[in-house]
Amino acid sequence: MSSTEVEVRATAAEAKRAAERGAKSRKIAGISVSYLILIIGCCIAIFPFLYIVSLSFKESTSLVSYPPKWIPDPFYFGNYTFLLGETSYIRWAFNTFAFAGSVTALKIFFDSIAGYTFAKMDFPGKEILFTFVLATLMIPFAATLIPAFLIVKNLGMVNTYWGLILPPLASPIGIFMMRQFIESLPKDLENAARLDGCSEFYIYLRIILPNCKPALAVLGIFVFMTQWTNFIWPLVVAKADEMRVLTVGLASLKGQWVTNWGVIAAGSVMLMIPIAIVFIFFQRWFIAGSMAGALKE
Amino acid sequence: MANVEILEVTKKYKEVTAVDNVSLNIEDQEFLVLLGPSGCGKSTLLKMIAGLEEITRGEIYINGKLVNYTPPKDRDVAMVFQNYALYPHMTVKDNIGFSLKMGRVHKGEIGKQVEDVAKILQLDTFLERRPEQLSGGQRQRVALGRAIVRKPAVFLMDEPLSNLDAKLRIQMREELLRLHDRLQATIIYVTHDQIEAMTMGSRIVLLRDGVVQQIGPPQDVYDHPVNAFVAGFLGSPSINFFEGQLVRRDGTWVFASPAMQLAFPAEVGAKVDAVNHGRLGESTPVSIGVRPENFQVVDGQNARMKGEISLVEFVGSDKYVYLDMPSAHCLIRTSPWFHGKKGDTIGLEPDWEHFQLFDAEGRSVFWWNPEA
Amino acid sequence: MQYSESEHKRLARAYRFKKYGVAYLFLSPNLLFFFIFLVIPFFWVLWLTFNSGGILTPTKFVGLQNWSRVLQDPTAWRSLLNTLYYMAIAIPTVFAIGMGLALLLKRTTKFVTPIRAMIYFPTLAPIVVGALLWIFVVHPDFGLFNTMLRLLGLPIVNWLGNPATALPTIASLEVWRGSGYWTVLFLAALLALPTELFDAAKIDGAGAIRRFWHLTLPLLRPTWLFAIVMATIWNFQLFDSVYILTDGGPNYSTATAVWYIYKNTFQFDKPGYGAAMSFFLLIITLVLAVVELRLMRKKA
Repeated sequence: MSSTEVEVRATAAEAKRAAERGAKSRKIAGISVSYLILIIGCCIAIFPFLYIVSLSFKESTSLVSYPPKWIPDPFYFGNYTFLLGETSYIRWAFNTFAFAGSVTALKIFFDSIAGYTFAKMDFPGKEILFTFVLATLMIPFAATLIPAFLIVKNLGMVNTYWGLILPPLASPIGIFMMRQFIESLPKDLENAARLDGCSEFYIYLRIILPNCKPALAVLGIFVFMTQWTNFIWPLVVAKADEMRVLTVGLASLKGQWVTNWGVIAAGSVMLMIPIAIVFIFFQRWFIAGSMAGALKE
Repeated sequence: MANVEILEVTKKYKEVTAVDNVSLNIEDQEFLVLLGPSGCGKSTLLKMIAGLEEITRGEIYINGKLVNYTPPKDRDVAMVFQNYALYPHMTVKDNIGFSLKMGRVHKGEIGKQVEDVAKILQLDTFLERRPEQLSGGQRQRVALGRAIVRKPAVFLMDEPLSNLDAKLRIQMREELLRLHDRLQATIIYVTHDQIEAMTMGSRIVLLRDGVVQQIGPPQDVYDHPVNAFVAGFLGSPSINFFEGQLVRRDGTWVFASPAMQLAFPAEVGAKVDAVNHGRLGESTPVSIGVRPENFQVVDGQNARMKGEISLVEFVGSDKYVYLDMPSAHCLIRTSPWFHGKKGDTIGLEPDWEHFQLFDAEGRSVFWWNPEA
Repeated sequence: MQYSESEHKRLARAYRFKKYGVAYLFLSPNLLFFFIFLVIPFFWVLWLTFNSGGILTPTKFVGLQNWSRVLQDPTAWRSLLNTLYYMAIAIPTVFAIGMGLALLLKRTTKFVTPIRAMIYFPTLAPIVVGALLWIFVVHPDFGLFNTMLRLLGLPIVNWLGNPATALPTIASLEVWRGSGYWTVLFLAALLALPTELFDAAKIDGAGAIRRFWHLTLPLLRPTWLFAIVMATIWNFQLFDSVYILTDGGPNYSTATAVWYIYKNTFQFDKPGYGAAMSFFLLIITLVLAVVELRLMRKKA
């Protein structure tokens, strides 16, 4: 091998390496920009929350200060003590849990058993009924708000838990979700149970339910979140102070006593804390649930 | 223990008839095999016996009692499914004991019976495992155990061995037969595998398109197939068919085709005459069937059947020899010491005792019984 | 057969009655609530549109009066146009941001989960909380926007008090709260796309922008279809944030359709009028959804 040949090869190799380095550094630059934009996005998403956390520890009189003080000094707990002592906040929180929890529990039961029926059982009118259930997806809640309220009123359930809980049960999404999932379970599984002496209800309870835990978790989180954040229905049906849910109660604080912004900030923080905690632990299910909920909110 | 009677049973799905007017009588302690290609209605029939499918028309009796309208759990039958259908969320122990639990058997009693069954099936060390932690063969045993523990009147098995590898399948075949002896139970067994059917069944029911073709002990069905379908379905490699015409020549019956002019020996001719009530006339189109093992290799010069070897397959115990004939093909089974090579021309002589003759509709001239 | 035809019929009927009965029993709780709270209301709302009174006063049949009055009511039209204006601002923005962030997230490999979680988090805030939060963002005195403007030495804006900025300000809340949802949805759709196609396009020398327009977007068509129809249906029902932030003001500049229905029914006690409007809303929603589906189909 002559020395020129060696040189030519060396240069070629070097050029190739340089090109690779160039591509690599371009790629690194691209990724860095991506991360930069994403981090800015995260900040915009999160900053308002931090901002009200900060506000909730300030006295109303010191809300407006220039230059702004991001970290409250001194820490003022009056907003929280006021909220817990002078308003029905605790009662609202209880109402919200009772309301969202009951709807979730009932929905899990009703939707899973209806999903099982549609997925696995034969009966006349099945297709028609299922089409009907799907069709109700198209009806916006606002359209049926008035008569739903009038029905609840005629049943004497205004300002009661029943009035809060029962109407949101009429929602087709969960049935659809559960049917999709249960359909994927093998038919022979229930057939085996049928021969082993199970009644249809026992097949549902002992065989189907234990095998669709992931779907139940997604459904549960989805329903709970929907009702936890529900506003217009509780606003319409449970106006009495002791029957309010958190969202309605919080909204009522605005303008009740010459709007005490510090208190509202504190109320918002306390409303978001349980959501944040649950979200951190069950992030995967939340995102799966929101995809399922993509059908309707 | 029990007998099962199936009377003129039909199953229709909208326009499709899955099972067509099937009548069967399954004796106590019988090992009956429902055999047929996929889609022939055998699984549907089994599911109707189990109560998992409704019966469109006809009646099913178990132990003399009409069960058409009895839910599956009250029929005293147990089923082993093709995919085993084990409960994924339960341990082996709970899987086997589940039916007893549903039957409100006392807890201690359940444990004892489950252990007994587990011992028979050599599952005792796996009782606390879940189905996903078991091998295919073990799952299959659990599925069997789940059926056995109930001591049912009838066992229904839907292709239980089809998901096992070949070696395990042969082993399980033997075990199932042993179990049948031990339990003295009535077993109805569905398969599409004719070897399984012949090795295990005390009787075979061959189905095609929902219609029963033939019922009988394996050898009977193998030797005396009532039609070309049965002859072709049983046996591996399968029977050779030759199309041609039946003609009368010099007072004897002759099978005439481009491949051969085959005069029947006197006793076969007499047999044809005996069953022929004017059915077979001059130049009737027919086909003949000869199984690969029912040929004798003879000298190629004067033989009435001649063929040129196109392929020789050595399979250990035998050699399969593929022959090309004028407008026909033929496969014969010879001893492994057969010398012929590709391109050789050899002569054949059918074994007349096992010779099949079918009419234009494919019905066996000898064995088709119009009354059956 | 040993049993007669009629005996079979009788036994079969009893058997099926039990079998189908169980199925209907399992469906009954759901069907009951559907019937009471969806089917009856649907027809009731239709009936209400032909009546006046309803909640406090007894109903009185007035024929098509409600319908014709809705058509002649300038505020009703205003609220409808406001809703459309709001959608025209909010929907393209959340889609663009959602798609952009999803594309960026797809390129990254580390910290995807926490970044996704943070971007998604505002979606979890009830709209009420979002709206209250937004008060702190847009408050003329201590709001975040104006604090920033002050820091930059710019003149401050009364975001919600000015008819020109009020509705876009409410839309900005939806952008903040909704973008994370679409990011996650689009990301899931992007990750489900077959990678071979993109590799093939890369080998063919297609640049990133070309790949996006000619591969990614067409392949994501089902997702787009779904997203546009759903975003229309949801945003048409805009109520919570308007109710809390501006209550329709100033000077009806943020009056939306559902807000106006609510006002008529529950505060002006004109449920018949509100019902007629909800029916219009239902019809418009359905028409929009169908038109969108048609348009999308034609494009393909």
